[in-house]
Amino acid sequence: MGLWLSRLVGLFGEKEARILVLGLDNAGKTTILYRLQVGEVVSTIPTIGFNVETVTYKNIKFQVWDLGGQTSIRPYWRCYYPNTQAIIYVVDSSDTERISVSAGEFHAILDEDELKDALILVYANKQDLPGALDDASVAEGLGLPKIKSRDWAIFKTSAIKGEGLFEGLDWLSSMLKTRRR
Amino acid sequence: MKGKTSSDIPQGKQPNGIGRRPSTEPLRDSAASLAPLPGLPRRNSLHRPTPIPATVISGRASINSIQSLPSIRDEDDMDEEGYGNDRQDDFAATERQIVEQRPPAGLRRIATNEHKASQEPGPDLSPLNSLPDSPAAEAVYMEETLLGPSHRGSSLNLDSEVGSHHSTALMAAMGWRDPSKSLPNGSDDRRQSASDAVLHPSTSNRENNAHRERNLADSATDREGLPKATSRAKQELGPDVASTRTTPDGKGESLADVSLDISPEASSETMPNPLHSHKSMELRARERKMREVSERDLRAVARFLRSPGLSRQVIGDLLGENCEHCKRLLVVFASTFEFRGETFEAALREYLDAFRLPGESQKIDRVLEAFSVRYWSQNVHSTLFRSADAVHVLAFSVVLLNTDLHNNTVKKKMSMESYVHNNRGINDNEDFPREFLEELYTSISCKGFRIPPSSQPLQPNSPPQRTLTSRMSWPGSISHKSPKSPVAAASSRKVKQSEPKPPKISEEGPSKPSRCCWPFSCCSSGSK
Repeated sequence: MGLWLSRLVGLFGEKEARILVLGLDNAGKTTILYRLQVGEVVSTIPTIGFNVETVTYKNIKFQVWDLGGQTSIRPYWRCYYPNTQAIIYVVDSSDTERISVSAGEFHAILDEDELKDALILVYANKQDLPGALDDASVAEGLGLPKIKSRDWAIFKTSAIKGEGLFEGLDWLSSMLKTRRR
Repeated sequence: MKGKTSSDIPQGKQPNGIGRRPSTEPLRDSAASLAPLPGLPRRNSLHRPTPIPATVISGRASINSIQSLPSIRDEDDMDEEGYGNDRQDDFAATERQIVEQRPPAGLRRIATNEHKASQEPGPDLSPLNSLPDSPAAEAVYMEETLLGPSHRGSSLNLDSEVGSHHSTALMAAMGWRDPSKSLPNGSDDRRQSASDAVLHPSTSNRENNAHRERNLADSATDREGLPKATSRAKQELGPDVASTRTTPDGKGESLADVSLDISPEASSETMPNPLHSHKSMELRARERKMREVSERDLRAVARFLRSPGLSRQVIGDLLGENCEHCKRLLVVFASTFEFRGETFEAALREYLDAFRLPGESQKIDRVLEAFSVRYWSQNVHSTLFRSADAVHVLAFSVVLLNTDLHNNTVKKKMSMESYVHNNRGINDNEDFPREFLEELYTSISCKGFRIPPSSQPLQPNSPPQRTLTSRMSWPGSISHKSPKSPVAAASSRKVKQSEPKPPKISEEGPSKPSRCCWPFSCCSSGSK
């Protein structure tokens, strides 16, 4: 009975989505990655390489890659663009000086052909710091309101406190589910 | 480190009067701070340095002592080895030859150290910029001179490093200009050989000397007689004499102070008047100090990071940081590797074995960029790569491939075909040979990059640095203090129970020196 039930859930429920976590240095990508990953530990052998975690949330398995966003090797990313369902773009809201740099990176990523179908989830991170821009200001700084052809959402988060992260995943999972139908 | 050097420097500067007389205060201070051993002869530290070493080593004899040089040399210098005046004349002639192009004393002391194993004097017509640049050698030299022969071989890496820091301050105080900026690739060998000496603390200094001699012999063609002559002299002189040589007497006018010649006429012709060059040189020296101390410190740190027994995880975190100093350190660190003639894969494996590659993409990017610059600079004529960028992107792809193939989180593995396909056009818009990529793929899939054997934390009571989560430690371990969520804590506890017990060296109590950890980490590596 249990086996049958889990098979049924597997058939209709759990899907795997590949997600890239992008953003400038020190935006909080790694912290977010490990904040999301609060479930069971999958691997016992640490691997040299990029931070990759699998997060299961609301029956969706998110395979989250911390791939940064540096321009120098972006040409190489294309192998990881296809089959990418969503991008989590992390912005350090307290770093007002670099918000324009972050916006430039963000639009360069959006311009990639292979990512034209990916959902855009923006985390306005580090809301716990004094002087942090709110989500509306960050959206303005990134030029989000001008994006009409994509699904996007922005959430205020504090990775250190673990606030706001799962609200973003809620949005992601609901969007992914509606897309699959 | 910086604090130390910055506090040392003014010491050397302050007591200098107008005249040329080397001040005694800084000599005594630094001798005391550097060599607290009771047995160390202090004679030359407390008084104006006798010209003995000055005649031969760095020629710092001042004018008023030049006339008395030969007799003093006979008393103090000649008794040990029995070198006669003919040798002195060789040195004198040698020094006269280069009197127009005289390097600062600090520089020549380095030369002295690097060549002290050489026995035969030779003519010296070398241009300044071919003199060796070796803070490591300086560190060994300091160790020798300050601790004396009886302490040779008994010190740790750290001792050498400390010596190096002191010497850094000393060199800066002497207004020494870093010749590496004018040195092309040639200096790397020397630096490497010297750092080798530092990195093998268990061998005695005599062995180090022999080792260095062998290394130096390879590149001896661009080295000259002065260093050899001075090095021989260094061998002849006792440690007490040498200690006076290394103490900072100060200041920017070191060039003036570096008079060096035994022959009065040469000295009087070429020495600048200290009275009117004093101020500008002091200012210039101070500027140089600000620039070069940190440069030399970085080199010392980079060499230190290559020594065994350190936590590779911490090294990786340090190298990956995004601060200005860390980025410079990363470049210097990469330059301590010798990739000439190595295959790309072997070089990358060697590089990644020296520390624990951080998992964050920007850090990986920076670390691999430093690697690619170094590899490319030593393999410019490679037929395989078109540019350092090509090396960089290929290295990045290899790390990505390694993650893909060996991280259990990734279920769907990249095939060889897709790897080759993904790597199209990355060699400056051209493709790498298919066989090369296939071979690379096979090699990585059979033998992925492993976690370098990390030594135990240096502090016995520090918590374990890494829980065996799927990739790396909880990110809060360094950057913030947020408590783990109960679930995560429980899960990491669960994993920790299943992991094999590491050697419990660090838990044996604070009385156990932390350096005892390193043989274990080496034994368990098996990777070299």
